[in-house]
Amino acid sequence: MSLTRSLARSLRSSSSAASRSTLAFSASRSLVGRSFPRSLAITRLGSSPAANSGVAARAYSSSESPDKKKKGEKETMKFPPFLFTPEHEWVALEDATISVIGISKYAAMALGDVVYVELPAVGAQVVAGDVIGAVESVKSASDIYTPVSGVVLEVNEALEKNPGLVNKDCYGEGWICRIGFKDPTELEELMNHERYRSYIATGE
Amino acid sequence: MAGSCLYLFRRGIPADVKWTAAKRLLTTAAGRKYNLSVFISNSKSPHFNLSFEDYLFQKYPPSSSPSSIPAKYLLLYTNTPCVIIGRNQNPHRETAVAALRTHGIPLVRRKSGGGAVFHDLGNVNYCVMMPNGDFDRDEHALAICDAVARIGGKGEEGGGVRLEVNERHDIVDCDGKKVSGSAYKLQRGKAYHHGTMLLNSKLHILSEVLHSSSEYTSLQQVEGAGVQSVKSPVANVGVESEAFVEAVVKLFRERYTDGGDGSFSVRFLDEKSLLPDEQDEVLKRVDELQSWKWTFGSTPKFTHKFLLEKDGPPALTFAVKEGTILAVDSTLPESEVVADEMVGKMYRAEEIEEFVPSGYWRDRIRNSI
Repeated sequence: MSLTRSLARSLRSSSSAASRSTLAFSASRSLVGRSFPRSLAITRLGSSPAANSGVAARAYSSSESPDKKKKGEKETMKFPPFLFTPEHEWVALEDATISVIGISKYAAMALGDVVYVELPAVGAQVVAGDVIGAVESVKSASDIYTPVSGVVLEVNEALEKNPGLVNKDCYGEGWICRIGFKDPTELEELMNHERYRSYIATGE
Repeated sequence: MAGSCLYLFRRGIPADVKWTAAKRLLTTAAGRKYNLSVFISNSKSPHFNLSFEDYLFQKYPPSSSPSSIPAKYLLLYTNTPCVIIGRNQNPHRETAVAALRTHGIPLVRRKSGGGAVFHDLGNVNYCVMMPNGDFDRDEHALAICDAVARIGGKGEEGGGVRLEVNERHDIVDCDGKKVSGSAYKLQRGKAYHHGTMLLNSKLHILSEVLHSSSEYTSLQQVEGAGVQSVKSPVANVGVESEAFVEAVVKLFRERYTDGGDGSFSVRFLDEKSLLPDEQDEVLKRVDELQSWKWTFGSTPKFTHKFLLEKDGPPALTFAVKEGTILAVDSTLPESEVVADEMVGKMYRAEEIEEFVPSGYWRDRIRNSI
């Protein structure tokens, strides 16, 4: 069971402060201040598909568009900015080897108030499709899946104290983790923003 | 009535029965039909039943093609007295660990979210597994209300007990008292909603084990991330378990299947009736659920403070992550507690009591961690 695996993994790897500090990607940090979508399968929370897609469409037509630069984010991203999974995670590449993962606005809204984020262990080896954590909101625990394979380089520790960042800024301060990334073909099946919008509107 | 199923909710929205009527108009899967498999457990073991539930969820087929008829599973079970905490809770904060040990009541961490609940033989648990696209926090709670409405109960003549779903997705009685609490688990392609149903539970034990006011608990503070339970006034519905189970199964069949024999099955099960491969899968999960590593060791990072007097400064503070002691802050002499030796040890009494020469502190630690 995926949760179990992720638990075992997080218990196994002692995420020491030392291992974490070796991964200071300070140069790129400001650029990817984006959140990580949690990949939970929360496609339609609680109301009709039509009503939901309306919500989603509104979410995206607002100024919350993930690709929009925030003040202070001056660096430019050189790769396709945000790609989405069917489970509503997003992945953005900081460079050819580092990916950032978060959960989409749609997922964050469908989940409701996030009260806890279970983060992966730094140093964990993950394979695309693995459960790397979970988000808890309104009594539901929803798994997060990684769209890419690699090593967990860093996790967003701010979520430990402030899980609500996932709701507030899922493409920014609510990012989940950075994963060292090797195989660009893994990105081929992911959706760009436009396709993802259509996916949440139609389910296809 | 004193007891309380407690549930964990960040926002404490008061029960408002008007909500139910509104939700009925909004719920998703109205009219959708499924192949319904019903599982009724005759086991009363919380570890077995929760493990079987977890195994069943793994086995549940995720949504296939939109044209095929999706599956829905309904599992019903009753447990001997136990306390079940949510996936991301701290047992030291949400339960009276010492009282549980005194009463011999097992503590189990489940995989779904939410708060701590008490189960006993007067409580029936239901679990509905569905494609994740049909997930809805109220749909099946409303179905349970409708099923109960058909049974007589609480001395009322003829008509059943009227229950409602409130804004926190809990089922409440006509006084707004909680009779059932829910939690959910979502994975790729599938989801489950499980809940308790207080029919004839011993509510006074419930309140004692979930929130004890013993001298030890008032001399402790737990701080840290994780989900905190929300206490709610609770009540029993007052119907018999068999009548409840029968009514729920009947309603689910009527509402969620086409009524044909091919779309409905019922299986009774217990420890002895599992197939060999099921047995392996379930036993593996029983071991995990019973392990200290899962129950205590997967608690979100926290600090546990022990005071000498109520509202006084902490005499001994443990910082704990992933079940391991990261730091100990002690104002006590080494003749009582050898704090430095504990760092890096597992946060459990048998691991650290050798570093506690003081009988008083050894006693407190044994009772509390």
